[in-house]
Amino acid sequence: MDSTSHSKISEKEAVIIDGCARGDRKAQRELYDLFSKKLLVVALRYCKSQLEAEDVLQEAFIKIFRSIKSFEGKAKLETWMRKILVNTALNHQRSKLYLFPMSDVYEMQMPDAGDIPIREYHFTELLKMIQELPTGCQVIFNLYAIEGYNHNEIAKKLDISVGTSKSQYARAKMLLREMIEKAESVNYGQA
Amino acid sequence: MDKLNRNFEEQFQDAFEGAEITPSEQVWNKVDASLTSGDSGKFRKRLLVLQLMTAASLALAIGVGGVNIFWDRSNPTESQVAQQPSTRNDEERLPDQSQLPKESNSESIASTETETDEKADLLETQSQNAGNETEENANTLAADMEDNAIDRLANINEEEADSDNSAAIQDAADSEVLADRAVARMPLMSIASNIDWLPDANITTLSPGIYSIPVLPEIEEEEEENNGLWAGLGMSANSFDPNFGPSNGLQSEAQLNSGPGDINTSRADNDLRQDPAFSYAMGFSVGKQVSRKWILQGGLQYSVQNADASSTVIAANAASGLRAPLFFYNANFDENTQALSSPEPIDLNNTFEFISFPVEVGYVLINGRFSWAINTGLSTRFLLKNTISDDQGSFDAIEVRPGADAPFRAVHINGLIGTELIYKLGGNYMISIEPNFQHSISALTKPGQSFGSRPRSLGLGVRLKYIFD
Repeated sequence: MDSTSHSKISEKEAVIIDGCARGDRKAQRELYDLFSKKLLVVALRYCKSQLEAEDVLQEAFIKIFRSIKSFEGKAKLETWMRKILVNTALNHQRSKLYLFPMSDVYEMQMPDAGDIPIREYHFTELLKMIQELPTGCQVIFNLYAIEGYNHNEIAKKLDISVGTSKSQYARAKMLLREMIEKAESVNYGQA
Repeated sequence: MDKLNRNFEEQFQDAFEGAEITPSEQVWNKVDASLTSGDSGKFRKRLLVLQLMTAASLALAIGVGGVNIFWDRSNPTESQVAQQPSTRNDEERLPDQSQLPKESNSESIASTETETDEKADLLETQSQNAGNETEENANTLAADMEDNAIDRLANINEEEADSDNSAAIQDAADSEVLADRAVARMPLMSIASNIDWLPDANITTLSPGIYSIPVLPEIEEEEEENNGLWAGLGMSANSFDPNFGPSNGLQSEAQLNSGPGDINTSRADNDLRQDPAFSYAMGFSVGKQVSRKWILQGGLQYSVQNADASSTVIAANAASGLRAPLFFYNANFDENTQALSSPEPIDLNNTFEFISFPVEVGYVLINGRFSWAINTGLSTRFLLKNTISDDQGSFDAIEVRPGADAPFRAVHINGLIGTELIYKLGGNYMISIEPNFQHSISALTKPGQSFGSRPRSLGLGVRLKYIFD
């Protein structure tokens, strides 16, 4: 792959991509080392445990290595890899999503989340809270709040209605607020 | 409200910005293993295609070759007829032919080439089988034919100015050629005796046909078809199967115990995997097309033959630090070596290196710029060494060389069968593609081992040959 054709990637990434496209195991390991830590956090947001997240990460990297020849450099490499990982995680969760169909709770009042003191929490604490959300809420919360998809896109992606996506997101926010409030009270109690 | 929500989402995005958690090393190991199996899966597909193509080529070549040989036997060629013993009828017919008057002989000869060929064949047959008497007859007939040719040409010379006599010229020329053929097919003694009695004047006139090249037409034809001696360099890719299995009457189950000293035994787990893997060979060869249909060739070849395997047992020696996977046999580990079981099967490479001396006979099905032959023969193979190593390089490799302690024979014999598609490049070079199949005739393993091995391989070779002038 010609490195000059990769408009949104660094020279180092271009070299690694070329190596990976040739099936060079050293380059593959280098790519893995560069992004596996960040991608594991993404996987953890969609899964309930580290073991499950590592399974998703493994599967995603295999897909990445097998399809890296098709990477054209139109997006950032990390963004492209992250999309593959998210899709892998969604496929992984899809069976659970079907097992526990998401109920439409659109009428639920949207909570005012502005005063939730999220910045005070370390990402691992927030991660734990996200993992405690019901699977449907967890997935939709991640897609909307962190990946930046809108509800139409989420609805298409998960084959659900826009209303369901919105209501599940609202529910996720409410549950997170409850968890944070609970954590706050525990913290105050300890103090 | 929306602004507040966005704020909430941004807070989450910020919280996870640049967040990293190191995955366990197992994740990469699994990715690596999966990629490796994917690679080998692709490779196995290619290997299967190679095997199928080779097998199909061999089946086709053997089929066509068989039909060709059968056809040749049921429809003997002219030369084969000439080689057959003469019949009583031939002996009876020959004197009649030789006693024919010159005129009628000439007409008879000039009338049909086939008939004359038959006479020539009969002459040859007679001269080979019937002794001096027949030789005299042959000489007489040849003399008659040449007399006729001379007479006809003399007549033509006289009538040369007459352009209407072109047919006669052709007849005479034919007669000369036919006479040449008759002479050419005679034994040399007969030719010599024929030449002796020809008058000098006539020799001058007719020498191009009779004296200087009486046998050349046949020889030239042979040379065109016969490529003579050649030497070549070649290489081949093949799928090698060591074809391990239990030896007759011996225990095939694992005999390996976990106690110290018990490792000095062989093992042959039923669940051990052994798959053909990509192998290669290279070498040089010499050969000769000994006749129009037959080729004899031989050479020297170095080959590296690989097979995939797996094992769940590791030989470990605390003193020496040796940690080696076991597959089918041990390498006479000392008594301090212990057998450890591996939680997961270890992928192994089982590699044999040989020096071989193949000798083959080839039967030519098509002879021309494109030639096609089927070959069969034997190859004497000398084992250089066998190496068992793991794919990841996490363990020590075990090497076994031929010797008293080795479970393998130093020499074994392989049977070969193959087909060869040859293209003459021009000049003195030929290139050939050779699908081939080899199977061990004698076992690679020594008698008394708890396992047996009769390797086989299916391959595709390419050879560049230089034909000596």
